[in-house]
Amino acid sequence: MLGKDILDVSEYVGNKPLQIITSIVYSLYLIFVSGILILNFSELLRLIYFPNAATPLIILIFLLVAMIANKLGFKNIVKSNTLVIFVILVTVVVIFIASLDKVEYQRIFPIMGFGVKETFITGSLNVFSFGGLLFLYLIRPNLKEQKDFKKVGIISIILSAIYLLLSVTSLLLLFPFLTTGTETLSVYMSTRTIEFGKFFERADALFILVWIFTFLSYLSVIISYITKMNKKTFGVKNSSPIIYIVGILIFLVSLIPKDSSQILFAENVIYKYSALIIIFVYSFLILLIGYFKKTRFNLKNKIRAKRFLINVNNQNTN
Amino acid sequence: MEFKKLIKSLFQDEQDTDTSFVLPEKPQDTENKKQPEDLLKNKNVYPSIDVNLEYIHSRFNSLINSDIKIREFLIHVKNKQYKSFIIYIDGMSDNDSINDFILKPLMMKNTANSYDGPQIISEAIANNISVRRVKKFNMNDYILDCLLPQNDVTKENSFDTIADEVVSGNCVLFIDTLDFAFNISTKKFETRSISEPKNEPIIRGSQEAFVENLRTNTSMIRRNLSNENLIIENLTVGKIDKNKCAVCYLKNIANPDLVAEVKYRINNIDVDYCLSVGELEQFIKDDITTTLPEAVQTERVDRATSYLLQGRVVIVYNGCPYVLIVPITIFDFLKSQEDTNINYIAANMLKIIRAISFVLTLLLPSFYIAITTYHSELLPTDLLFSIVASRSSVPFMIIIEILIMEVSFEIIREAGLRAANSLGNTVGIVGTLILGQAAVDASIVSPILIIIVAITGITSFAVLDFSLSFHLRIARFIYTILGAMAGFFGIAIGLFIHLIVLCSLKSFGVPYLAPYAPLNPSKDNRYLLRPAWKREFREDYLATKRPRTQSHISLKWRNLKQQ
Repeated sequence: MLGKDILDVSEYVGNKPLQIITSIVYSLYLIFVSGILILNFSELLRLIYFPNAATPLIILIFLLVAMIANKLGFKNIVKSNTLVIFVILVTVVVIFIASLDKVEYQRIFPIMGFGVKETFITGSLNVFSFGGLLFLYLIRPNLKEQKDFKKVGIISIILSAIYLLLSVTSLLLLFPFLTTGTETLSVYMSTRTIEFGKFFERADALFILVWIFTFLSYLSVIISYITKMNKKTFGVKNSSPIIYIVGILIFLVSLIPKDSSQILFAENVIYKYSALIIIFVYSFLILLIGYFKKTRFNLKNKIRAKRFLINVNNQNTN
Repeated sequence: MEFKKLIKSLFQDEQDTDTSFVLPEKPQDTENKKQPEDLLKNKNVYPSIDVNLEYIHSRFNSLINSDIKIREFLIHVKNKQYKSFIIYIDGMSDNDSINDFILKPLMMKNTANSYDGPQIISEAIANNISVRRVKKFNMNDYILDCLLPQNDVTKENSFDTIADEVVSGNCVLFIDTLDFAFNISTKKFETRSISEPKNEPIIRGSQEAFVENLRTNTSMIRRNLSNENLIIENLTVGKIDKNKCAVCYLKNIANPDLVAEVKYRINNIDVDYCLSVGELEQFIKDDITTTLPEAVQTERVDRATSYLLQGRVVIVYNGCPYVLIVPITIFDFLKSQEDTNINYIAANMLKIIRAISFVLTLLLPSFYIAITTYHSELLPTDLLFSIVASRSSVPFMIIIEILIMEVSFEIIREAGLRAANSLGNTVGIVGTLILGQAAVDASIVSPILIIIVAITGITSFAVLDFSLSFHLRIARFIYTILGAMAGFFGIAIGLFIHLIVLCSLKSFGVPYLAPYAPLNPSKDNRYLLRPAWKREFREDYLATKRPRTQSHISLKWRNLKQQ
């Protein structure tokens, strides 16, 4: 299955219908996730800096920029990400180091949290944080060297783990408990505690700058992957209409939640469980079936080849 | 009668009496029409001297062209006389050379033009009858071999080529009965002498700069780079002004595909004229819509040579004291020739300062406006109070204030640059010191803004490349507006689109942000320099034929001493 992504595997397993289903499921999932995230982030921006602005306007600006980026090409988004990733890494490390003098290490206790069951069984559902692994299912045709796939997978998991570990550690040790807000707001709260001497007492705006940058990058990648998937599945040549449609759909999804409780529900329940079901169950199943089908096919071929050789040998001896 | 005249003058349409010269407001035709001169093209030399003479008169408009010189004379060849003429341009050819080494041997009767030479090829005697094979007389070989004591003479039969050679300063000789002409190299014209680089000064290193003459420039490169693999290929650009340019590269280092691409692009420019390398760059660059330069322009011979040694291609253009270097990355604009002449730590410090200057010149005004308008919590309270206090008497919004200052600064810069040298300094002093102080005193701008604009202006001078500074100036205005509209949100949006645009650019197949995007983390690709003895490889993205610049242990004398 060299150079094949989840869509190719779906086609191999269940022909074109399954490929279409996978493509639609993935697209809907990504549109939903990005719609909720963009809403959440824009709401945060509005609350902090633009109290008089309308959230849909901020969302629209984000989407327009992401669409422009997509118009400039997928390769350029990928190239820009190689630079953005270092900026994010530096930012997270700076947040972690800068908040070190405010942390209280006792807050790490109890290490097991609310007990074994809560930590390891209920907490296992938090694996949805690695939802970005979805891109590993799609990335393969974009790799120049197919042998790099393993390397890419390991590096991306390590990077995600570093970001999560640093963010969660600084949050956990800074605050006794997180009473309100989402993950983004929590990290923002941690940046508010950072002081660089007496001159810079509030540097959170600088981190917001980096996050906006990061979020734009994330949004561009999502739109380009949805475009790529649909282009491939439905054989569309021109990607521009898909880019616009995806942008509009994300915008529409972001308008669905009416209040913050709905946003929280969408983020904590729908996003969490849909990520688990689609990334860790549905995709795994397709890959497993594909693997078994391929193994069976190879086995059959081997048997056929053996039989053919035996027949040839018999004919020669006769 | 007077009354009638008065009435007429009062009511007459003005245009009727307007006898001043006017050109049609709209061109009659957007396509080039065939001109009578075009009929003269693609012709070959005729055997008849009179026809050739008439053609040359007509082609060069010699009746109205004062510097076109046509000299008719008779030449002596083996005691025979032939009608002939030479054509050259006064001021572009060497008169002494024409007199002494063309006219004199051809016109004067002397041993050369009367000498028969050994005419007998072979001789056989049988029965007292000698049979001799006599060499057939060939006048053109004879003239070329015996009568033109010049080092560079070629035969040309196309009038188009002949016209190109004459306008480049050569003298062309036409002789009756011959259906070709002798193109004799007699170029000599006044040129500017080699001087110091004016716009790229360095403390240490060569102080030679290119001049306007193509051949002088190529000879300077040749002198600096002593290797027979240095190829200097001449190409022509333009249909009307057929200007010469030389594509220089090291055959054993430069990627052949890159060289082919450069030549392909230059050969396929369909324009009437191209007067400078700046114009040429716009014709051959990959992305024609961007304001970013995609080639380095340098007046330094040593810089051009060092890029050649890296495996890049240098384009020398006749009439321009700058050369083009391709391909490049954005980091090449932040390099100075000084960097390699000094210790690598000092060089890296300078490079970091240039990078900081690059960022400041691009973003400082936008950050100022974003922080003061949207993110004032970033500033310490005391500083914030002093900013607010300094702004209290200023009647404008911050964006207006910044735009006034930025535009004023641009005007002062432009005026200082375009004014005569003696006036330039005065413009700068009047503009920056007197007007700046007056603006603050009149409460038109706040003192803090003067500091911001001054820092931005100074940092813009630390960005070495003139073309890149244009891009930075334009982008700075955009960022300032974005910062005013949405603070860091606007700046982040601008930065993101800017980054994607930068990622999309290529200079002759090399990504503009190489080696960082796409990431190619090899040791010798980095922006910061390694020690001179550790710079083992050429840049990967150039895909050169010779990747290594020095052996793994370049300081062999150290090892030998230790042994």
